[in-house]
Parts: sequence; structure tokens; C-alpha cells
Amino acid sequence: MSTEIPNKYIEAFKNKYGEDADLKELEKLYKRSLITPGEAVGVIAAQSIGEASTQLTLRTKHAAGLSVINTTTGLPRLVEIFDAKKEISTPTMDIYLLEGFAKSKQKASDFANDIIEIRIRDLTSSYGVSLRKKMVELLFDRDLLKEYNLTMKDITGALSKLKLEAKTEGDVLVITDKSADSIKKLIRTRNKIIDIVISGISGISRAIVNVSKTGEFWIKTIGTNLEAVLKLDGVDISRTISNDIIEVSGVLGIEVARNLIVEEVNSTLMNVGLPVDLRHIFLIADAMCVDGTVRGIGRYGLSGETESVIARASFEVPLKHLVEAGLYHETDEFDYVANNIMSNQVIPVGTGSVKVVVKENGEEHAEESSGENKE
Amino acid sequence: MKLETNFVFNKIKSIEFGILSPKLIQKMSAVVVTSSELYDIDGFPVDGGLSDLRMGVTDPGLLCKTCGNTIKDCPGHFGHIELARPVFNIKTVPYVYNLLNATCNSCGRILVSDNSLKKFSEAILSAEVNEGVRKKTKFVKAIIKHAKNVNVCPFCKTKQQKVKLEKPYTFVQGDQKLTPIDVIDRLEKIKDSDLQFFGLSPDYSRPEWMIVSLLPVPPITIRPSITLENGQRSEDDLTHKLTDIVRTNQRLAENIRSGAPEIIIDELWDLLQYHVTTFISNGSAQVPVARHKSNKKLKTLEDRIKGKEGRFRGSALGKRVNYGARSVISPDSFLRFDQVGVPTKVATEITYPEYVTDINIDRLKSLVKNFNSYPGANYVITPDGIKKKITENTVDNIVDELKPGYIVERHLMDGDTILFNRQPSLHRLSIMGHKVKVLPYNTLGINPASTLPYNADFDGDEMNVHVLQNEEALAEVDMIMNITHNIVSPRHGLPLIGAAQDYISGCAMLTSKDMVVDKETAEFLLSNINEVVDLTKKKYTGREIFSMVLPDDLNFEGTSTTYKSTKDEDSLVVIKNGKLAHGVIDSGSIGRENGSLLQFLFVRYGPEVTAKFIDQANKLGLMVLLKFGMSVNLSDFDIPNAARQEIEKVFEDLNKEVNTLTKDYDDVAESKILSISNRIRIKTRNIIDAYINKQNNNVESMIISGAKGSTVNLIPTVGLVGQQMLRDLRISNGYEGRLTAHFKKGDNGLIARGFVLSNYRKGLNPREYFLHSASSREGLMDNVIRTPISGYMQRRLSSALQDLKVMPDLSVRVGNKVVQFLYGEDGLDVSASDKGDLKI
Repeated sequence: MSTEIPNKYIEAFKNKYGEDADLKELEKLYKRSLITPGEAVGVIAAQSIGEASTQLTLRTKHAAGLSVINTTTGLPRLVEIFDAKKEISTPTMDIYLLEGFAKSKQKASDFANDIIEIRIRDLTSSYGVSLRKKMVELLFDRDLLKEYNLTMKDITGALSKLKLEAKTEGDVLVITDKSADSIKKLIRTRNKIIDIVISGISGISRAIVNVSKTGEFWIKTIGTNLEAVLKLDGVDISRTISNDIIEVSGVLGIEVARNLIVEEVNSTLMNVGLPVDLRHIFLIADAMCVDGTVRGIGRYGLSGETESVIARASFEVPLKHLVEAGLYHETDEFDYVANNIMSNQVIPVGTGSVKVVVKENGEEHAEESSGENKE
Repeated sequence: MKLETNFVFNKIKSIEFGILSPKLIQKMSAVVVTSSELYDIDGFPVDGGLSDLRMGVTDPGLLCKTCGNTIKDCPGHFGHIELARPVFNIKTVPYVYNLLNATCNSCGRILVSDNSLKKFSEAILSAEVNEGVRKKTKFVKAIIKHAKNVNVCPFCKTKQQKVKLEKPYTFVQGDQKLTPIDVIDRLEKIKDSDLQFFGLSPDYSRPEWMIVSLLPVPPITIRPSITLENGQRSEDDLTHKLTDIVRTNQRLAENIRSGAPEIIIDELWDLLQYHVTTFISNGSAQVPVARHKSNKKLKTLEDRIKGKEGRFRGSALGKRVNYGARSVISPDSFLRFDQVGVPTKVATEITYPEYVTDINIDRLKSLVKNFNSYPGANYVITPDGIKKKITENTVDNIVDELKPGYIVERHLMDGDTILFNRQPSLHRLSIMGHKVKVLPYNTLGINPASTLPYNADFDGDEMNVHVLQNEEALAEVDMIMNITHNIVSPRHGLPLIGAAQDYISGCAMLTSKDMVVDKETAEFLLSNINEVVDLTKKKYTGREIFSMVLPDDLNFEGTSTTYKSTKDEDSLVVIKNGKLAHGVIDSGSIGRENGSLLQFLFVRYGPEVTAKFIDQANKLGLMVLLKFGMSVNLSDFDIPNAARQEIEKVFEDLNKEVNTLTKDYDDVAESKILSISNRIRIKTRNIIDAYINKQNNNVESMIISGAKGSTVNLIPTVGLVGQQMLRDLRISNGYEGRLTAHFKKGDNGLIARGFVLSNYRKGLNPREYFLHSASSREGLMDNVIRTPISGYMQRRLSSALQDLKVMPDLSVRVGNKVVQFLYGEDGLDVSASDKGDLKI
């Protein structure tokens, strides 16, 4: 057992009671404050969050004003995090900038404008298809092109990836797709074309410059693309983060994802004034990330992967688990909580995790072995 | 009545799962069911029928033909039906489908070359050894996916034709339908040595066993027939379904025997397949649901197992108990907070089994003698386990024979430990140990101080009592679950039990700056909290009185709620050697979910001291109010006319701003209007704050001490109610272009879109009231929708984390997997430390 008192407490104690104070009092206090071995800390964590969540709001609170980005909060956000959803409802990034950019509002807003994705769709004033000529026609808006500082050349350059014949006639772009033999295919080609990102970073639809209390300018976005943003010049890599846990675990690794879960759950709860101790959130985040990938807590995550057949079956879709257990010849070892509750046995947590050892004729007998000998 | 004494003390160590082979089905079967008849003319079960006595008995008086026991002791025995033609088991169809496509059409070998197999088998083995059986399924899936795409058998070089599954249970190869017989042939060809790659086992799950050729018939004991009042028998749903199976099977067998045409046989075979399918699972996709004549859905095997009321969640995980009571709760401030007032009616009904010893024999004898009134006893259990009811006739004998070794089931008495619970049990503090106080009422009494962890109030709430039945349970409850041990919540390390409302008002009044009481009052207060003190002075300050309930060696410094609003240095709490030097004891010190003093006491002085302090402080607060009185007047909510005018001016000024915005109305204007309506609120709050009478205003004093209410509550009460919102926007629907007929079309001003200018003190006009109720209703609906969502989330969280526990080295593990190397990164318990820290 780690009974060594952390230095910070010893220092604080000596500060208060003098250098040669008796540490016995401190040791007593410290040992009393430690968690009890056997404690079912998982259940305590689950209940702490669950009980608090009954008081959570259901709807995202809209802050007044247009220049604010609304993110999912409250109960829906909490559910989303614990589900480890691949596509979250409001992905957003906090982009922090390096010194050269962070102090200048102009530079920050230039940066923000540069990363907003612009697709061909956003530049055209109209477009159409012709099945007879097997072509897609796009009419570009000259003013928009000017505003975004683009020329038709940039656009044909971006189209080269598609390996289609493209011709420009002033503001009109004609693309011929010889392989298109039906209107459906042609429309698919058209959609592919107008979805092409001409400039900015794909996935980021809005970016708004904010200013922190220290006068630093930073950028909040709608949509995320962490990998691309981190590669940009002027981005402070150490602080820039997305709120998409799965994305973060892919780009920055599981440790960062774990910390992000903690951060997101904690801020969601603190926003509505429901304090939950960080230890509980740590534990849930650690349990979700313990295998190296982020797993949700539901049927397809943690709960569905328990070693015990019966514990799994008791959660959801029992028959599926029972059939699989039969086919795969699984064995339930009865070292979990749910199966022992079912069979009226002592659960292996809390006071049930200890056994009484009786010394009999000099030999040690665990309590339960005496029972087995009865047969 | 004889009590079972030869308990089985063996533990279930593990359960192995497998699928039943036809051989095993035959072996465990007591009878071959051949007849669809249940009873003969005399009402006796037919031999070979579905109620055959060899499968067990459900009627009292009859003996089981297999084990010879009566209904009480016969566990029931399986029978079986020999199906004329085999059928698919709906639950194994997907696995059969995989096997058909992953093995060779002709030689039955797995469609993976020897080389890759070697790699796979190593991977499977190491996964099984290192990560458990569960992890091998990952490889099984990979192998099957791999094998499915192989077109030529690597062993016999036969070209493969893929099998298609037409849901729910038809296999087609090319244009040939595969019957269950064909499939059995195919599966039998799979070599034992190949089975491991499919996760199967030659001894426990041969693939051909997945197809039903012998159908086990469950014992009658799990599908008992009931005799209705009119003497008619009503059979269980399972029996109904089994009759269908037996009948169809009979017809199929007869037709095969008589050489009937293929079409008829196939039709009957299909019908048999349908009946067996619905017997296993009534409600699979694309299978018509089997119904009663009354159109009610038949409840078959899967329905019994799954769902909230199913075998797992309904019967095995949730159990019914005896020795429980439930009643409406009532507040009783004269109980200690760890007590429960138990009605005498309850106390005489539920009992505690007390062992007779030399020490307590006289007391227990007198209880037995007093069996027909309180306190008494109901039953006596002799050392050889015979339970005797104490009645007028038996009481004398029982008193005479009572000696050590007997158990007396005596009535509940003061000081007994019980469990107290209120649903929904959202956290562990929803069920805690209390002490009994038997009282002559009909409701359960509870001190209002301990309502918060249960989230109880007294508008008709009911709560449950469980009486513990052995010393081991009693010891655990007294030392772990007792409410005094759970004053501090593990969620955030704040006390959930403490002072509220009047208790706080009283204590704050007592400890205010210039509170002085005379000796007589001091005597009154102290006598009511059972504090024995020699009073020598003529006058005492309130703080001196309060100091008498503090531990003598307590040194504590803390803030107070009063300080937050008054910034009066005198209200900061300083306790030196158990004396309150200065400071107002209010919500900040002793309030629930707030009190830092309670939290400090709990960590350093332990549950008993804290519990005693809470009870004494609360009682003291109550007695102070009793002595000095505290009431609220309607005029406490009055503000001077000047303030009223100022608020109106704020509204008018900002309303003008809004009116200019509505002329050019769009989304931007709307968001600006919203922020204006917010500004009106804030300004109103400031005006109220500046003008409201702070002296001799008990509403104000309750807000300042944190007893109840806040300045936010004052805004709608004395100022204005403000903007009514629906879905975070100003209310917009109703009539075309307007909310109600009171407004002009297209008016987007404040009032026309749900701004309530009146306050609760004055009252709302009808149209304001109407719009106000619209947004109140939204809150109610929100609550209804939210409850199941958060309930399900909690169920999933609990289910995912229930097996995590702290090991002796303070690491957190599940099984042998380490989740955290040190709990919470520092090993501290939230509720046993200063909110997860140590304040030195």
C-alpha cells in the first residue's frame, strides 16, 4: 500500500507547525483520507455522474448574439461523450495562435478567413447538366471570386484531380464526363465537382475570432479538421484542440483523448453548476481508454465486452450473448458482480472482497474452503 | 413448521456454456412426447403427452413419476420431441450461414490455406490465453470474412458456389434450396480440427447441433397449467406452442410414412419450422407473430428471458424481500437525523430474530409473554429449526422451554438498525442505515435534515424500511451504510446532511453580532439540546451559547454566506479552542451541500461527533426561532414607489430601443432584442438590490443567511417577471402573425412577444399569465423527457463500471486488468478528505 505521505502535505504541515513537528498527526489524517481497498469505485463514479445528470438541461442553451458559436451542452453532450460517438453533433475547434499572430486582431482574423473552407458550390451563381452533351456547366460569380482572391485557373487546377476534361469560357466552366451514361451518374459527377474544396481547410465551415482576458486572440470554429490545422504555420500546437474525442485520439493519441474526455465532461457539468469530483471523471475516462482505443460505455462498448457471460447478458440482448456463449464454449468464472447477485452469492467487491482465514490445527483454512469440504 | 437446516453451502464457481447435442437431449429427457393430447377424459395427464407426469407435477397431491417427489420437491424434468424432419434454430441461422460459406462445398474443410491457418491458430491461442475467450471472437470474425471470399477450396480444389440466406431461414445455393437435412450433411463434414477457427469446440458445440432434430421439452414446472374458477384448465403459452409443434410433427410423420406428395410434406415441414421458430423467439424479423385466439401475442422462450421484466433483469438481478415496510413520510424535527419514526403497527408486524443467551433470556421471556401487545414477539425458533407461533395457547409452553440457543422473533424496538430507502435510488445515499424510534403514528417520521440525500419531501412521498435479519448485516450497516457515516457525499465531498431553512435562520439569528440572551433563555435553549452546562453569568451572547455545541478542541476558520453579501468582517467564522470567536453560523458553515464546518468536522472528528453537532445545531436553531419568532410579511416584498418608477423607466427606455429595431426586423434584430430583454432583468435586479428594505426584513435575512431564496427569486416577485421563452427563443407561435388576439399582426415588440411586465407581488394580467404558463409547461415537458434519458445513461455507466474495485495497493482493477495504478491519481477518498485534498 502506498502509505508514503506526499511531500506537498509534509511541507504544508511543517510550514504550519514548525520544521520538527511530529508527523504522526499528519500520518493519521492522511491514512484516514485514503480510499478503502475493495471500494466499488466504479459504481460510485457512475452514480455520481448519473445522479447529477438527472438535473442537467436537455437543450443546448443559445447564447444571445450572432458572433457566438453554440455547442451541444448538458445531457445530450454527456451522452454523446460516453457513447464515444464517431460523429458528434457540434464539432468545434479552439485554435490558439503563436505569438506573431495572437496579438494582432488583423492577423488573427486573416488566419480565420483563410481556414474557412470554400467549395466550388460557394463560388458559383448557377450550374446545370446536359445529358446529351455529357457535360456539367458551372457559372461562376465574378465578385465572389474576387472577394476570395481566386482565379479560374485555381479552379481548373483543383479540378485536375478528377481527371475530367475541363474548359473555361470566361466565367463559365464546362466539364465533360464521357463515362456518364445516365442522368444519375452525371448528377453524381456534378455533386463531386461542386463539393471540391478550393481553398481553406475542409470541414471548417465557420471561424470566429475571440479575445481572451489576457488580450490574446484565438479562433473558434464550426467543424473540425485537427490534423490539417495543426500543420498550418502560426498555430500553437500545444494548445489547439478539437472537441471530437475520436478525432483527437486518432491525431494526438489516446492519452490526449482521455484528458479531453475528462475536460469535456467536467466543463459540461460545471457549466450547469453541478460539481462532480474529478476522480470520478478520471475513472470513467480511464475505463473508456484502457485498451488503447476510445470505447463507449454502451452495448457495443464497455458493457458489451465484459468477460462474464451472465453480466453481459443481464445488460442488453441476453439471448444473443447466451447463444454466442454456447457456440464459443465460454465459461463464466463468477468473479463479477452481476452473476454473483443472481446466484445469491457474496459479490467480490467491498466487504465481500475479503475472506476470513481461520487457523485450525496450525493449518490455515479460508472460510469458503471449509464449505466445499462438506460434500 | 420446520425450517430448512441442511443449507447447501457450496458456491457456484463457474458455469460452462455449450449447445445441447441430440445425444445429450436424449440423455436428459424423461419422456418422448408423442401425443398432442394433454389430459384424458378423466382429467388425468396422458402418457407421452405434454403434461406427462414424468416431466414433473404441478398439481398438489400427485407424485412425479421420475423422481417420486411432490410438487414441493420435484424440480421438473425435461422431455423431448423427435422431429420427423430437422428444422433450423432461428437463433443460430447467422452462424450456420457463415459456416456454409466458409467451408468447402464438397470436402467440408475450412476455405483457408494451411499456411494462413497456422498463423490464425497461433493468434487465436494467444488471444485466448492472454486476453480471455471473449477476444478470440475478433479473430473468428476475421477468419470467416477471409474464408468467405475464397472461391476454390485450397484442399480439394473444388470450385465453390456461395450460399445465400433468404431471411428469415431459407438457404439457397444457386437455384437449389438447402433443406435442414442438406445443411446437417454439410456441417457434419466439417473436421473437428477445423472447428477452433470458427470458435467452436468439438465437445461442446459441434456445428450440426445448431440444427434442431430433437427438440427439448421444458419441464411442466416452468409452464404450469392453472385451473380457473369455473374448473376449466388454462395452459401456459409454452404448452400451447408445444402442442402446435407436436401436432404438426405428427401430421408430418404420418404423411411421410404414407408417401404423400412432396408439396404437402414440404408445406408441413415449413409449418413445423415456423412453430419451432416462434417457440424459441416469437417476434423475429420477417416471421409472423404467433397469437392467441384473442389476438394476444404468445409469450415464448425469448420473451421470458429478455427485457426489464424478463428473467435476467426482472427475477435474477431484482429480488423480492420480506421484512420490509412502506409508508408515507412525515417531517419530525424532534427525531435525531439518524432516526426513523416507525409506526407501532409496523413495529409489531416485522421482527428481528434475536438469539437467546444467558444475558438476554429474561428480557426475551418477558417479550414472549407480552406477545399480543407492544413490545412483544411473534415467533420462536427452536435450536432444531422448528418455528413456533406465539399464541394464547402456546405462550406458556414457549416461555418455559426458552433457553439459550433459541431464537426469538421480537418486535422492532427503539435503537434497532434498519435500512431506509426512497426511489428512484440514484446513488448509494438513497439507501442508508437508520435507528428505529417506535412512535404511535401511521406514517414514517424523518428529520427534515436528512431529506436531501433521498431527495424526499413531504407532499405524499413514500419510503421503504428494511429490517436486517442477522448480526453480520447489522454490523455492516452500522459501520458503513449508516447515515452518520454518509454525511459527506462521495460525489463532491460536501455534506448532504446539515441545516436547511429554519435551522439556518435560527443559527444565524443566534450567532449574529449583537445577539444577547438572558440566563433564562439560555437555560431554555440548552435544556432543549440536552447540553448540561453550569450557567454562572446573567447574560450570554448568542455565540457563547453556540460554542457550547462545538467540540472543545476545535480550531476552524471559514467564510460565511452572510459575508458574501454584507462584506462584514465580523461575520467570517473563526473558532478557537471550541469557542466561536466571531462569525455568523449560516449556510456557509452548516448548510447542506455547502457547510464547510460540517465537512471539516466529519473528516477530522468522525461521524459521531459530526452527527451530534448537526442535531444539536439544528435543534438550537429551531429553539431560537421558537423563542424569538420569525415571520414574513407581505410588505417585506414592497419596494418604494421611486424604485417602481425606476424599473418602469428602464423598461420604457429599452422598449423604445426595441421598437426601433422591430422596424427593420430580422435575425440580427431578434438577437439584439433578446439581449435587451436580458439587460432589463439585470437592471431591475440592481434597482431591487438598492431599494429593498434590508432592516427588519425577514425575507432579506433568509437570503443573506442562505436559509432560502436568492436575489434572483426577488426579480420576478417584486420587480418584473421578464421575457417568456420557448425553445430558447421568444414565443412566436399562436395565431397567424401574432401570439394571441390581444396583439397586432406583425408586432415584434417586447410585450407582443411574451415579455411579462408585471410581478408576482402585483399579479399577472390574463394574457401575461397565459404566456407565462406556456413557458412553465415547457419546463415540465423537458423534465419528463430528460428522466428516461439520464436513467438509461446511468444504467449503462453502472453496468460498464460495476466491477471496478480498489485493490489493496490502491490500484483500480477489473478482473486482472489495471484501469488506474493509483485511484484518482492520488489515492484519496473524496468523502474522507477535504474534497479530495488535505487542508493542513
